[in-house]
Order: sequence, then C-alpha cells, then structure tokens
Amino acid sequence: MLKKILAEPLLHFVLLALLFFVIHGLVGTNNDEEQYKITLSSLRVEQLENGFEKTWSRAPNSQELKKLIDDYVLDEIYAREAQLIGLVENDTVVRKRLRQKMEFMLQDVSSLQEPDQKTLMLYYHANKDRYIDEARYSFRQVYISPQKNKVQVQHMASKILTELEQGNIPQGDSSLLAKQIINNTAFQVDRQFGKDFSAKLNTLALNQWSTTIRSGLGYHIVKLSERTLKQAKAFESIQAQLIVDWKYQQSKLFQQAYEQELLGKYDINIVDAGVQLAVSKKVKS
Amino acid sequence: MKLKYISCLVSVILLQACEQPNTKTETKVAEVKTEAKVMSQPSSVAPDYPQQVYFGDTHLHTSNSFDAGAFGNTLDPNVAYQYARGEQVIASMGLKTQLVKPLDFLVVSDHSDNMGMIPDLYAGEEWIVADPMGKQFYEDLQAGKNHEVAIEAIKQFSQGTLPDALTYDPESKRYKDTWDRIIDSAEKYNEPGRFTAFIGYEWTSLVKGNNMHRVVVYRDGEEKGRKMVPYTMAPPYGSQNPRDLWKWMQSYENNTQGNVLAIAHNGNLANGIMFPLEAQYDGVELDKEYVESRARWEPLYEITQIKGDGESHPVLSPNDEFADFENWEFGNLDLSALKTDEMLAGEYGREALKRGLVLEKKLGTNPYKFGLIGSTDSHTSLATTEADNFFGKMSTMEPGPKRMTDPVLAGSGKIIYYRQAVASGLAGVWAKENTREALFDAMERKETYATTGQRMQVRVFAGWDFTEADLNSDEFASRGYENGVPMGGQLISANGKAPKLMVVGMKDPDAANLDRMQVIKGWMDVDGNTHEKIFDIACSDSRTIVNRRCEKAVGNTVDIKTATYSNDIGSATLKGFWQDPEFDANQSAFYYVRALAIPTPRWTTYDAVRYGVELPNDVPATIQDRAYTSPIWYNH
Repeated sequence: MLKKILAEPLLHFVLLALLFFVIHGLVGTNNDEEQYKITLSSLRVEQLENGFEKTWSRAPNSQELKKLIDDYVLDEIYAREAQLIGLVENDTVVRKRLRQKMEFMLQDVSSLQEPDQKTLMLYYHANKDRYIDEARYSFRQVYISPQKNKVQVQHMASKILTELEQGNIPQGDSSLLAKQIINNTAFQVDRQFGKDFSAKLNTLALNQWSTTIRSGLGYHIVKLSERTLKQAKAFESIQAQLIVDWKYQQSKLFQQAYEQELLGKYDINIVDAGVQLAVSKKVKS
Repeated sequence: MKLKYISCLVSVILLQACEQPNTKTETKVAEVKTEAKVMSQPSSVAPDYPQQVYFGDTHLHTSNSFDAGAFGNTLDPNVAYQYARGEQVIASMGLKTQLVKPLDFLVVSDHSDNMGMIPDLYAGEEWIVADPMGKQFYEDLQAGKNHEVAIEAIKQFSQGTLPDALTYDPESKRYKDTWDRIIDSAEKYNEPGRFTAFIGYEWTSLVKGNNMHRVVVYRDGEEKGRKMVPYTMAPPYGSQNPRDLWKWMQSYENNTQGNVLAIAHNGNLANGIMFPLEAQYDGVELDKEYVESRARWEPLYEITQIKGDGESHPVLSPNDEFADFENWEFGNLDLSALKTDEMLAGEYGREALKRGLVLEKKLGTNPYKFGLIGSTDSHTSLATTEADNFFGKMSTMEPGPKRMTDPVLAGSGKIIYYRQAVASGLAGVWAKENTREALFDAMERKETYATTGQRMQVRVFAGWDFTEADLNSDEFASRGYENGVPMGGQLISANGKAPKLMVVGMKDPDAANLDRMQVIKGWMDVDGNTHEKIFDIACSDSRTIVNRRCEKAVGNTVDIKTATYSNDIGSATLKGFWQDPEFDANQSAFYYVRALAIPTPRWTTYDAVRYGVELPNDVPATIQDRAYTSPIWYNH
C-alpha cells in the first residue's frame, strides 16, 4: 500500500505543492501590503556569502558583501515589477527554467525509492542482454591471400594442412595479421578480421585445424584453442550498477507517468489541423 | 537521498537553482565500466615492438566548442566518448546512430577560446543577454537561426571583434569548471587496454581569418591536466602566435612534469602562413628558436580532414595524377580572403616536408619533420570517418536531403557548400598497447599514418640491408625493427648504399581492396632546390610498373545508381620492396608511402541514393580512399 502511494506521482506533487504553499505563506511576500517590502533574513545574507565563497574560495569583504546585497535587492525588485506587468508570461527562458525545476523535483522524488532484492532480480532478468561478458577466443591462424584463384587456394590449403599434420610450421602468405591471437573478445577479433569472423569461429571444433575460412581479408586455416561464449554477468557481481540503472529507469517511468497524468488534466486544442500532438493525448482540431 | 531532497526543496523555496543531477550520463558510465579490464595482448607473449595499429580521432568537437554549439550541437564530451566506444547515441538533430566499428581512441578537442560559452548563450544567461550582440545571438537562436548565429560568431571571432561578454576569460571560475568537466569525461571513459580517452583541446589561432589552429594532446591524466587551464588565443590571456603556444606548453610541462604535443591542421585554409619558409605571418624571420620549438612541440601534422585533404595540390605537384583529391582551395577559414597559387607552397604537407629540408640546412633543425595523421574535426560530437556513415561537419549538416544543396559559408564572392565537405579522416597509430602512454609515445616517435576514413593497414620499414626475403618472411616486422627504422624514423650513414623500403599494405577487412602503393620521395639538391618524385611499388591485378607507374588505372566498379561497389578488382594485400634508384648520399631526402584503395562511392553518392536527390555535378561521384604514412628521413 505504502509502495503504491510512493509510486503515485501526482500525489507527491500535491503534497509538494501544499508544502510549498504553506512555507510560501509563512515567509512569502505575496500579499498586497508586503508587495513593497523587502526583508533580508540573516539566512539569506549567509546564503549570498556562501555563493560568493563557492566561486572565489574566500569570504567577501564588506564592500563586496554590500554589492551582493544591493544586487540581490535589485534582482528582487525587478522580479516583482516584471511579474506585476506580466513579463513572466510567455518568456521562453522562464518557462524552460520552471519546467526544469519541476523535473529536478520529480527526479529527487523518484530517487527516494530503493529497490528490494526481488525487484532488482526481476529487473536483471528483464534486461539480461545489457549485462553481457563478450565471447573470447584464442587461436592460431595461417593466412592465404584471396589473390589466388580457387584451385590455388585449395592447393595451398592442403599443403598447409599436410605440413601441420607433420608437425611443421607452415608458411602462409605474409600479411599484417598476428599469427596467434590470445584471449581476444569478439569485438577485437572482428576489428582485425572483419565483421562476423568471430561468428565463424563459433562453429569450429576446439584444438584442431580447420578447413579454409573466409574473412574480409582472404582465407584462413584456424586452430581454436580456447573459446568462452558470451554470457550474462552474474547478478551478484553487478548489483551496484543494477541499482543505478533501475533508479534511472524508475525516474524516467515516474516522469512519464506524471506527464500523462498532467496531460489528462488538460484540454488541448491545436488550431492547425495538419499538426498532431506527439505525446500520447487525443487532440481536438 | 532524503537530505538531498530536502536541500533541493529548500533551495527551490529560496528561488535558487538546484544543481542538475547528471543521472543520465552516470547510468551510461555504469554500463560501460563494469567490464573487467583485460589486457588485449599479454606482455609475456608479445614481442617488444608494436604488434597492432590502433585507429582513432585526435580532433573532435562537442557542444562546448563555441561554433559547434552555435550550429546546434547539444552533445557533451560524455556522449562523444560513448559514441566512439561503440554505444548508440541520439545525434543533436534526432537520428539514432552507432558505429559499426568503434574507435580505439579519441581526443575531445574543444576550442579553448570561449570554451563552454555556448551552453550559457542557449540558456540566455544574464551576462550574455546584457550585451547587444549577445542578446541578438540569443534571440536569433530562439528563432531557430542557428546557422546564421554560428557563421556570425565565427566571423566575429575570426576578426577579433567578439565583445567581452561573449569572450570567456580563462582565469574565470566558469572556464575552469568547463575544463574540469571535460577532464571528468576523459577520466570516466578512459579504459586502458580497451579504449583511450585523451585529454585535449584546440588552440584556435586565427590571423585575420587565416587558419593556424593546433590541437593539443595530453599524455597525462587528471592530476596533471587539471593544474592549468588550456591556452587561448584572445588577448590579454592568449595569443595568436604559435611561439606563445609553445611557451605555454613548456610552462605546462615545467609546472606539472607532464607531457603534451600539438598537431596543426588545415594549412589549406591558412592562405600561405602555415608552413613559412622565410618569416612568420607577423614578419618576424624564422630563427633557431622557431625551428627548434616547432620540431619539438609539433611532431605530427593532421593532413586530411573534413575541411579538405592537405597532402598535395595539383599546382604544386603537376606530375601527381592523384594530387587533385578533395582539396579545399577557396580561401581562408572564414572566406574573408581568397586563395592565390602563390599561397599553396605554405599550405600543403608534401611541400612543407620539402621546405623542412631547406630550413634544416639553413638553421640546423627541420621544423617540419612531422609525422602524419588524419582526423575528422567533426563538430557534431560524432567521430564518423567514412563515406557511408558521414554525419557532417556541423550538426546542421547531419544526414538529410538538404545537405546536398545548402551552402555552409559565403564570402569574397565565393560560396562553399556542405556537399564539398570531405568524409575524412582517421589516425592510425602503431603502438604496443592501447593506453594513453603507449599511443602518445607512438605519436611522439611518429609511428603513425593518416587515412581518409577507411581502416587500411600500412607498415613500412627502411634500411640499408633488407632483402626481399625479409619482406616475405613471417618475421617481417621484427626484421624491420632490427635492421631498419619504421615510419617516422631516421636513416643515417649510407656507407655507399641506397635505402631499401619494405612495405606491406592490407585493406580494411570491411571495405575496399587496394589499388596500389606508392613511395613518394622528396629531396634537396646541392643548390638548395627541392624536388619530388613518385614511384609506384606495388600494383593490384598483376599490373606491371611502367615508367614508375602501374601500367593502367585499376578500374572502377562503383554503380552510382545504387551507391555500391565490388571488390572484384584490387587486392586485399599488397607488398612492395623498393630501393631508391636515384639515391645520392649528399642529398637530404624523405620517403613516405601513399596507399590507394579502389574507387568507392563518395558520401554524396550514398546520400543521393538514400534521399532520392540529384547527384551534384561539382563534386566527384567516386573517390579513392588513401593512406599517407609518416615519412622516413635521410639526412645528409
């Protein structure tokens, strides 16, 4: 039950708004008599000093402090006057900033939630493909240039295989490729031999020389000595990361749900009949 | 959490901003960081020389660069590193994108002047809108005129007329915070053995619109990197004079015991002042100090990138049939002055290498003894280097039908169009492992090469006693190092012999076959005149070499209507063994290799098919991607 309440974005906002309203009412300046009265509490002055110190790594001297206070007072006066004559309306910067502040609050509210083990496990299983240890391969390879024709390639391949059977080290065509690859990931293998080469290695038997395999560079005779297929990371080993990712997902869901609720509250009319609202809300035109 | 919540709430009530929680990027990092760190090549097995080439981009801009941001780039360095590492991201203009083949390393190199200003301009911060020009920019941005704002901002900056409010002072807290965040990103994404995230920036020197830019790359991590903010160009803090940048680099190294290098680029937009022969742009004659400093601090040159390929120019190299390749020869960076033929010699890489020999004789040190790399200079935070994945120079140029026809810049009666941008380039580095230290050290010793985007591999060794058997041997590389020098190296004491070069080239496994490999030789005769000559040393398809060239062109398999090609022509690997037939031990010389791929569709040809738009007739439909290795020098 408590969880359900916690997950109810609109409720949070009602509560927040209430709190805001109450505090605002206590310290606020929004009644007529107070309109032309500005009081700076010691807390406010301290805040100005702290702001200065954060930037300059020292406290302001008396002259600087006076200027900070003057600035603050003028800011406040301008803000009130601007509000009075309606300058806040339709100002893109103010609107963006207000939305941003709402979003920050939403994020903070949603981050209050902590997943239990069961939730985290469910999340892990649902997103397993994002937590993967890549496949790894160790192998030797002998290279045959694709400039040879089919018969020549066959001929060279069988010559190489005979040499190998006899325990000799065969001479392939020279290239810039390493002859021995040790514990490389699929990504590293494909980066050297071209895309999908690692997939071909998956079909090979271990510890025996293959027939010719085609790569982006030519042909290869390969002996795979080790192959670790890609696997999901163990749940225990990535718990901290899962919590971060789960929270990120939750905050997104939370925000989406909140926006949907808000959209539900509003009646939206778009005069231009050709334009549709991108967010999921029926639009009258 | 609760505390944070309350403090946030309190601050909301006090009408103050909450710090923006960076949830998104933190999550992303967690995704990539968990993988265990594994050495790609255990040192017990690997020989003590570079086994592998690593590919990366040393020149990429993010939203922190004032022009990139103005053009609508909203992606910060975190996203740039994520993308280079292979993660899917959403481009500034909304397209989802992911590299098929991730990079091995990346330098985020934002313009140091006004670094971080644009995000504040977008936010309409008070100190910006208080300025008339700032207010105008802000209002134009709100009206969606990103392009106009960007162009105007670059022009004002180029001409040194940007007002103070829009010029972020590098001694300010705001500037330091931006720099710290850039370093945070590099630290987050640097993963030794798998992906190297370098700390870096671009010093954006412009002399009346003439490009003198340099990217500064750090070998160091955060501890040293944070000790000083980048060097800028706008006075009184910075300077447009490279000599002052070098002094800054010296003082950085003195103060931190760190290690940095600088890479110049786009000589082709310098209107003749990138590689001076007599005097600097300011009329000050080149002296010992200049040549020594430049040689010390600038071991590399970025020879190819989106704003043009700078290896050679048909006017300078009339006998080079491949010189006419994606040169930008309109004017300087902001098109405030047009180009004349006389300027070209001070702009192109090959000519600079030749000038270096002259200066070495005159002043004792070769200031232009640089290795070569390519990079993108992309301003989209997206390091795309190839024709089939080109995301453009600026965010306004991200894929879409309009980039075939839209102009990017106009001035002095000329117009440059987006379609003239080049889908280039890439830096190849032969290093022992993928770490900041190993890659940086390889850059300092110039064991690097440039490509115009494809990941072909090229390896070259020069020595006096190589045999063809060495080239064909399994031990090719170890013999190369034992009895000779790799690209970027220096040959000494001829003892009556002529240099021999062993060269191996291998195609990008996922791209085009190779057409040919060439040795490009430059030298200085006894009268101090310089010369160049091109020798084809390996041709595909059994073509023989006649008069120093493959007997005929490789052909072209590109089907322009579908933007496809086949590897039925060309070769997967090419090998060349070559001895200089005209060697004179009394002449200083350099040799570098140019490897050409078979023709493939230019990016505009892919776009024409994708968007069903007409192919422009002022750019080629097909190109031959290429690699340029660092030279090997012989000193008389």
